[in-house]
Amino acid sequence: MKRGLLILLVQLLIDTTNLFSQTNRLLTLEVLPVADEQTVHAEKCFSLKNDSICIELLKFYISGIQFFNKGIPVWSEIQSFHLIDIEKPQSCLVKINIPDQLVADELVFNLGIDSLTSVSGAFGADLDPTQGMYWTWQSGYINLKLEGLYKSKDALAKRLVYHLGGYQQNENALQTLRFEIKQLNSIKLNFDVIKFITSEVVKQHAHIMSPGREAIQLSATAKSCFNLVK
Amino acid sequence: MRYVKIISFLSIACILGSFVPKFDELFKVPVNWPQPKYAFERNPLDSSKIKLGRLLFYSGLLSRTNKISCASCHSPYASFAHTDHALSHGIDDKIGNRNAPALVNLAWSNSFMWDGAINHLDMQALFPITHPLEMDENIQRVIQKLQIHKPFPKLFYTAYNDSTITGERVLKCISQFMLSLVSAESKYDSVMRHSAEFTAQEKNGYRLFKLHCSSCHTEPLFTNYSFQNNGLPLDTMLKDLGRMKVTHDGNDSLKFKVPTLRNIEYTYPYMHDGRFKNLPQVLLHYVTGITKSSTLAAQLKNGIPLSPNERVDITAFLLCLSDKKFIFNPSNAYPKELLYDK
Ligand code: HEC
Ligand code: HEC
Repeated sequence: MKRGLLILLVQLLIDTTNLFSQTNRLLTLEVLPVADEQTVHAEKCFSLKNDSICIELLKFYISGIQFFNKGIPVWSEIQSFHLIDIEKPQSCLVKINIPDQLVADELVFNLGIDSLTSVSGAFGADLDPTQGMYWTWQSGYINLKLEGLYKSKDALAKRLVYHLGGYQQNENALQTLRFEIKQLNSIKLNFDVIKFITSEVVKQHAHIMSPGREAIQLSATAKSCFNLVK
Repeated sequence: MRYVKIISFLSIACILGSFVPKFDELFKVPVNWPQPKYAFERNPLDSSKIKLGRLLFYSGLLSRTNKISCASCHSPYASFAHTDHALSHGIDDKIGNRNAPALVNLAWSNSFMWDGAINHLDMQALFPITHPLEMDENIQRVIQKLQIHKPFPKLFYTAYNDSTITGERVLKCISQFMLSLVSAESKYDSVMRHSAEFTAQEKNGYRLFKLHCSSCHTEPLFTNYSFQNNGLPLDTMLKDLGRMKVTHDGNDSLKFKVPTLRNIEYTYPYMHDGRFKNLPQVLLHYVTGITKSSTLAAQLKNGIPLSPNERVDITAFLLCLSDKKFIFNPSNAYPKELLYDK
């Protein structure tokens, strides 16, 4: 009994010293929506072959940021929910507080909000319903919102409206992204808006505003539009 | 060694003890009731937040015209349902497409609306606030209005030690008020606690109720929270398929959430679209009106055989679920503070 207590005490001592000796540093994860190598701002227009697209709104969630090393999770951010919004350039610079000594070769995160959070009621900060990313006529977060005007030479202009989300079993649109990384100083990811706009799903559907098969397909497309800037 | 144990036991007890009383005062789980489903640890009840939630619930600022409040459709004197209106009407007197249900004992519920479209009480208020036929506002503008309207900034300060108003805080305070709406003081409850007795008629009604109704309207909350088709024919104008709209599953066609029957005397008209004006009509439906369809609940396949006298007895029992203390509880009513707001 006494010995057990002693071991416990020593353990506690080690733990607390560890807690204090461990220093952290900021890692900037830049997530930048781009089109033709230019940063996308609200109301900015881009030309595609014969057509053009003006993006009016683009917002999405990055959540559950984790680092892996040799396939093993080594660090995960607590309360990891970040809303990237082209109207707020600061939001594209996600600052994460990682341990100084962290060694990792893979970055993992979700595009969207997990189902547990989606059923747990009201949250603040980036998850606050005032961000306009919570559905009101049903429950759950919108993982990605893109709205814009697509003008084409040989057809009428059309409004594109995508509110992608869905957390229920057969409608789960959450995407998990993994990127091999070489360093942990600053990581830069691009979201290729042109690739998204010219995708097959977008060609077929000008509006997707509720969970379901199309929302899942387009979410998977969105996933493929991210790439790591080397 | 033993002292160590005693001391640690005592200190743990103290720590636990210091949390329990406050919660207990604000939210009592009635005797023999199950534990509530609401996750109070994410939104611990606090009297200043309940008060703030009550003011928000009664405030027109939540609507575009500043005239419609939650209470416009959920009146305290109707157990927070919308009496006399089959389909609730909201902004500019537009008519909605469903009947406003009673708001009682919501802490025990984990899906909201007739079809369960809302998965958490905190998120419920967003629906009416933004619905074009209800309050037709958006939460950003609601917050801008609250920031400049007495008494809200001060009340937020009291509740949170800073006067910042956020969507999360507004929603959680409204939830706190709704969570405080516990109704458990009806005659039925007194009988269960052996402090009152049913009349012979009520007693027979209770017996019949247990036989025919309680598989869905289960005691003590008088709902089992499942979604069922209770044989109502489809209203061809509204074409409301209920739960199927949420799950996209044909097996859920025409299923609606089993509503509580507590305070049923006050919540007329009845059913999701308010099609029945009174309880005798409801009972007649269960006896002769059941419409067959593939999703009809098995218990109702042949209707429920009840003689006219038995229907009267069941009705007498249903009236025992009225909780006058709850209906006339001044702390649920329109808060006078809002009058000075003008
Ligand atoms: C215009 C009338 C109207 C207004 C205003 C209104 N409601 Fe409702 N409420 C309804 C109707 C109708 C339903 C049922 C809707 C459905 O099932 O589709 C409902 C359902 C609910 C429910 C679900 C209850 C359950 O057991 O499933 C809650 C909780 C609720 N309302 C709270 C509120 C709050 C809080 C407000 C104010 C922010 C509010 N309501 C404003 C008409 C209204
Ligand atoms: C198979 C399950 C089931 C059984 C059995 C059942 N009900 Fe219901 N009851 C429901 C459902 C579901 C609704 C709501 C239906 C709707 O609005 O579409 C409902 C609605 C009601 C309502 C209207 C409540 C309101 O707030 O509008 C009353 C009253 C009622 N039932 C009484 C009874 C009585 C009395 C019995 C027994 C004779 C009974 N029910 C048996 C499922 C059931």
